[in-house]
Amino acid sequence: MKVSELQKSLKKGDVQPVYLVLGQEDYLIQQVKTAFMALLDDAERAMNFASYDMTVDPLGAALDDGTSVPFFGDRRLVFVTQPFFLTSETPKLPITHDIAGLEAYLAHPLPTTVFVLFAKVAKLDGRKKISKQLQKQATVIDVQKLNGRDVDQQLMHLIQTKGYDIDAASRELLVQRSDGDFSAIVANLQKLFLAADDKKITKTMVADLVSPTLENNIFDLVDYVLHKNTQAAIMLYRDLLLNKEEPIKINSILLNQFRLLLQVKILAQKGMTQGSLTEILKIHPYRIKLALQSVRQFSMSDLTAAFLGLQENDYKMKSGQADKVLLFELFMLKFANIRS
Amino acid sequence: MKFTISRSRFIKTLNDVQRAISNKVTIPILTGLKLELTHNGLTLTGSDADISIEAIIDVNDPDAQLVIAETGNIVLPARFFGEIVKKLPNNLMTIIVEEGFQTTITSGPASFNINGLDANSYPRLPEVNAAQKLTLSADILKQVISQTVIAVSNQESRPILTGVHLKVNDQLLSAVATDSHRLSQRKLTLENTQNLEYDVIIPGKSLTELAKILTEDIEEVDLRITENQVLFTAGTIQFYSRLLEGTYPDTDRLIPTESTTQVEFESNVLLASIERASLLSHASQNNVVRLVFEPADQVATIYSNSPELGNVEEALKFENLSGERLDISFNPDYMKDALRSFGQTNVKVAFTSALRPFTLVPSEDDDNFIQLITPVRTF
Repeated sequence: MKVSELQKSLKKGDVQPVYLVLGQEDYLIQQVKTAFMALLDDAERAMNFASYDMTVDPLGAALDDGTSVPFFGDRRLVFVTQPFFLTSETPKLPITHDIAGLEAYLAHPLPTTVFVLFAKVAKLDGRKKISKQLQKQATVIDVQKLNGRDVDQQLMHLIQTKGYDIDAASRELLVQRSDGDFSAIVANLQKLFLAADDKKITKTMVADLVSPTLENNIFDLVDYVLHKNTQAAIMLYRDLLLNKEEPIKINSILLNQFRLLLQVKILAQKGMTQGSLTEILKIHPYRIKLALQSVRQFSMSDLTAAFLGLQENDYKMKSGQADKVLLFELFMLKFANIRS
Repeated sequence: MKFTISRSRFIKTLNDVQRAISNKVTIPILTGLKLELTHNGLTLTGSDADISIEAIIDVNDPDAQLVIAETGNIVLPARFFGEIVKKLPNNLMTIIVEEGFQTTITSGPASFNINGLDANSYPRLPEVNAAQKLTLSADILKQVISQTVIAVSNQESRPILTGVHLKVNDQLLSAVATDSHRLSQRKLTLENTQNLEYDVIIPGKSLTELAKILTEDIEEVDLRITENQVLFTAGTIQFYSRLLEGTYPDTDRLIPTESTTQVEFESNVLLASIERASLLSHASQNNVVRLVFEPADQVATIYSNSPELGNVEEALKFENLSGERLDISFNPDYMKDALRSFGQTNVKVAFTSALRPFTLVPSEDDDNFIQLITPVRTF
């Protein structure tokens, strides 16, 4: 079930006893929580709502709430967050969870309780009996990370609903600076809404108000590397280090970016379009678009050399063979001297 | 600062003040005990920012044997200092504070040197300068606390319910606590409080600590309330607590006025039966006992089972039983807490249905004290 469908059904009073909210999109999760909270008025909320974090609270406490009739009002609302027992995670915690109790509850849920489990993962551990039972007996709400076209659609819908306007270039920059993460986009939009007096969001506003993330900076770094602009690359690298970014992390993201460029280059040469690349690589279309623009300018040999050089750095960093900080600078000097 | 004092008298006051001191505080100095010596006596202060306790040992208190050589103040590490004082060999002890907050504690042949802190860095206590005050008998206040705090929530996600809702209006005091599974309400008629009106939520934890301080030698407690603080004055002790912010749910409408099944028990007899049944319910993951009332046959039975261990069934002894047949399940711990709060008395239990909250009241005072318990649905 999509979030919009859930909102409609709850408004109509069509409320199920058990829900599983599955996925990692914070913005959608928040919308789901708001929709459920609207089932209770303010007076009922203090009495009939409780949230249990499974890394702190025992599942039994949530089930006690679930099996208790509401004190006043029509229903109890119980949220269960971080239910790691539905996933392959096994954190060492000083609490034991009554999984058998949950199984029994799912078989006979209390009609006056709305029991909502929030599993902030891409998928449950299908080998576990409780996960199978839950997916069968609960109403599953899909809050998976939005990607590609969905992000653009939701973004436009959100901006238009609020009565604002944004041009394509500003939208692209916003998506890029937010790394295509919809929840980050929404958070950044709040700042832009405040700044746009005339209800028009401009590229300048986005550039001024939405600070670049590590990934954005890495994107620039990739560009400097491929253009063999040693000075700019090393300056930006040192800035990242001053911002307390780890050399291993920087190298890892660079490596991922070059892997993407290589994949795009190879597949584009086989005649694949932006749309099919998005499908195959499961990456935001904006990143594919930027990658396509980049790879046209650079040779296969340069991309390969950069990728292999960074991979060697990764190995050396992790095996402690050289100074982590200096490895990138050495790579850059070496790479800049390779003939294209 | 320099003084000599009776160790036993000092320990008595120290124990009271230490109730407010916690190691889990964000302000490091609050792990300390503040000592302030004036010509009038010695003041001990402890606080965890939520609760603050100040106690005075008067210079004229004959038990204290307080001899003041030099006034001053200091903050000492509470836990460590407390352990030292309790282990000193003689009944008299002397405390001297030197330059740089170096503190010497001597008693007989034993002498300790510990590092103190500047008392000027200790946070100021809240100012509660309310003109109006409510005076209550210490015994009655203690009873009201013990009868209501059992029902406060210990879940921080429901902050309002972690407190006791105290209301004073029309010469009537009402104290209510609920964790949304059970409720306890105690009412009290007051005298000479015509113009007094309070509506506050006091943290359950604060009241629990206050009750421990109300020893038999304290007869009355004065209560003063400002916007976000309450001050209880009991003898030489000043007990401050922050108040919880927010609106307490309207609990009056929760209490049923009619019932379909009524039963009267001797409180301690029912308690003993519930305790026996809960031996098995506690062994099971879902802590539930079941009561079945058959007024037509004048039979009441309690059941409990643990899939791993077995089950228990017991015919209950009651004073009278009337109304409709009923089969109801609930958490026995809530019932035990409620019954203990009644003490040695008969208790009337009134039910409306298997899935509605039921009430317990003492037979001889069914207007002023009521407990409400929510049943559990079993399958």
